[in-house]
Amino acid sequence: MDSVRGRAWAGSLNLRITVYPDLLLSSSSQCKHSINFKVPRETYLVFYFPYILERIATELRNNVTEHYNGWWVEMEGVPLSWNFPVGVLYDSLTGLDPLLRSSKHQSNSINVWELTLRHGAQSPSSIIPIVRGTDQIREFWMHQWKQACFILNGASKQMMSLSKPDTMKFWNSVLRREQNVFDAIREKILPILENARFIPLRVHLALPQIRLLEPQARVQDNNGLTSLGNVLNSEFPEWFSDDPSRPNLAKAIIQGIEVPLQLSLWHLYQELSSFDGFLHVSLCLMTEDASLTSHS
Amino acid sequence: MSGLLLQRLKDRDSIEKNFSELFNEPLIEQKASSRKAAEDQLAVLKLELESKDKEISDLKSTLKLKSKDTEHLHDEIITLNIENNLLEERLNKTKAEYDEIVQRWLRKVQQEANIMNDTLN
Repeated sequence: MDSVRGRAWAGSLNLRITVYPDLLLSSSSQCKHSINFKVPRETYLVFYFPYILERIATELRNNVTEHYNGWWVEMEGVPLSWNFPVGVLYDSLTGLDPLLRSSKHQSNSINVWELTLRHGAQSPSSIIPIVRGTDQIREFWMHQWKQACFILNGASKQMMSLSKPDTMKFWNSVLRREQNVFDAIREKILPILENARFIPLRVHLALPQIRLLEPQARVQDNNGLTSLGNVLNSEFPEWFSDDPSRPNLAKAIIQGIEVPLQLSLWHLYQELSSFDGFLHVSLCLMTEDASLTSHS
Repeated sequence: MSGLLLQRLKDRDSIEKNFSELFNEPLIEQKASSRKAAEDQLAVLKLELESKDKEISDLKSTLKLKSKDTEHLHDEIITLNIENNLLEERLNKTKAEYDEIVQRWLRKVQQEANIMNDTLN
């Protein structure tokens, strides 16, 4: 069945990961320096580190002793924080403008995100070191949900009172990509509209510098449901005007699509929130190129 | 409004999933660790199998010993039975002999008594 949630869950990205030259044996052949694969948008890239390392292990200068710690990927020299969904990183770091992209798209073109694999004793300060492998990732993800649950309900009770098997099922549904299992447990955490307090919202900015904002976003105010535009206007008045006649200087991108600003956060959260319980919005500043397209 | 979102997601997928079948999608579901768990379990089970095998052979040899013992005891019983029969035969013979001797003795004593009576008269 084709649904917004189904599509949001099933979204995928083609990746090309190139190994940083210093990590390679000088004798290794050029073509083995990179590997291509696809990942779901709704996952952590770090899950794939063991897979990447397994495939390139023979070409590396050093034996692979750690599958997580000390490794990171970067885009054009900017390290990627593994702790956000892949799709969100893609949207914000590439400054994705869906309209611009589709205007350039041809039926025989392939969309590939090129990344570089790096390794070092000291990972960049923007990256959370992973010292306990998947257990740490799982705990991190659980904490994300606890936060999201708290923001929504005003308490983490719904999350904390999940049974142990349910908690594991929840986590495994992320690993095994089982949306129906995931959604069933997610339902237990989400409040009904009357009880919802705030929306777990994260706004990602890549320009002028990489920033993450977590604006306070009430589910509803005196005038009814809060719209995405309301929040963005109060956080970024220079880009999002409340006057409809003046054009906005930025676009809001969620799950790789531009979303209309008048939509309510509550509705967007239901349909497009990520697997960590947050609604991730990436802002795309409009270039001249893009504004031309949007006007035409 | 959902229709609009859905349409935009479709547009997104038509670009992002164009030729995506060329890219394989690795599984992350703790395959490696579950395989490791399976291998660990296999090792444990193999150890258990070894100990069970040993136990079985121990029990077999015990059983062999026991059956030998039983055979031995059987032989013993048969020997004792035969001995018992022989002894019983001898007992009977001796009893008959004894009885005869007693009879002879009584007869002899009777004769002496008769002679004594005769001389007194």
